[in-house]
Amino acid sequence: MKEGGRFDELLSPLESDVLRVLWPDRAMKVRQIYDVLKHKRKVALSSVAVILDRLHARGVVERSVETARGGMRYIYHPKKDRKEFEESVVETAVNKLIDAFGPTAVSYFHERFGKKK
Amino acid sequence: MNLLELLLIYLKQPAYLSLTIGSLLVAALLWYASRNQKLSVGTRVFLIYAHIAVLLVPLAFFAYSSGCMLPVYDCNAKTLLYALPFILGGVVALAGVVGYFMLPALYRRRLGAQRLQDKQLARLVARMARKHGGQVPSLWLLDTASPMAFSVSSHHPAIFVSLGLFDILSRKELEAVVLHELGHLQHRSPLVKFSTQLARAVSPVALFVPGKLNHEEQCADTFAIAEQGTPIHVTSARGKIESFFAFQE
Repeated sequence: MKEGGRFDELLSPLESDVLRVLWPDRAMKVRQIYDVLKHKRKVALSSVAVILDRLHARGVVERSVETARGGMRYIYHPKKDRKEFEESVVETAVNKLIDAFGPTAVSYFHERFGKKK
Repeated sequence: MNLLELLLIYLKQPAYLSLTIGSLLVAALLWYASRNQKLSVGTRVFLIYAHIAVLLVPLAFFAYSSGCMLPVYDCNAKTLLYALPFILGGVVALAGVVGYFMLPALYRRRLGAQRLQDKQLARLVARMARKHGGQVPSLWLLDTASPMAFSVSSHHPAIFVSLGLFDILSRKELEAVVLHELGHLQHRSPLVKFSTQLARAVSPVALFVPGKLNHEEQCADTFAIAEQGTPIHVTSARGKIESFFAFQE
């Protein structure tokens, strides 16, 4: 997976964009993420809120509640940084292949990555 | 002799058949009248409960006439039949009373609501409630990203707002939503809604005669718009909430 690429197989384009904004800053409010994204693509604040809620439900991001002068807000932060997320994606994909194809998948990986060495 | 056979015997008697049809018609009329937006909330709620009471009349006659037909030794079935109208009437009355007094507490527990720590909003609600001579409702926060708000009429009225509203609405829009809910409480529309839902749970007539509650929403919007002096915030808040749910689908 290229640096700066999308995770189109796993995430929708907007989910991918939201995570890419969230990864470097670690903890952001919905409106802060929206403020960054609106310069890059056409998006509504409510759509960003839906995406973050969806990512939270899937366990990709965590959220806490911040009480400030302007009221209460959710603060979203990714559960894993980009590298850890990519690793977990690869691990899930590999596990799925092993579950589905068993010894065939294992011998293929052995052959493929054995050759590289 | 099963219940269906007893019902058929009951309905074969012209006096009981006309009593049943008459009661159903009166109940339908009362239900239809309770939908009239021009009536006061008290009258509408009275009509909804009168509708349920009228439906109990043929049930009581059925219970007593059928109970008389059963043999003397069939004590349990006789007692159950005689008690049926009282049990149903009691359940509805109890649900109504418990609902009125306990509904805010039940919602708080079920939804895990916490007291809303927002002094600005609390001050606004208190000021507006006093201005209109109403009871000051308590404000509760729901820990969900779905933008939602609702109010509950009770001896201690309450307004519930979700954290999701704070995420997507501006301060003025948030105030518009809270004022909209306060408008509901001023018009006591949650009481009508609760009574309607209760009637729909027990009455077959209420299920078949439609009734919309759009008027209540319009009244609550009018209240918020009048207090803010502009429809902008109510409209934009509604637009954002609707687009959230549209995108969610």
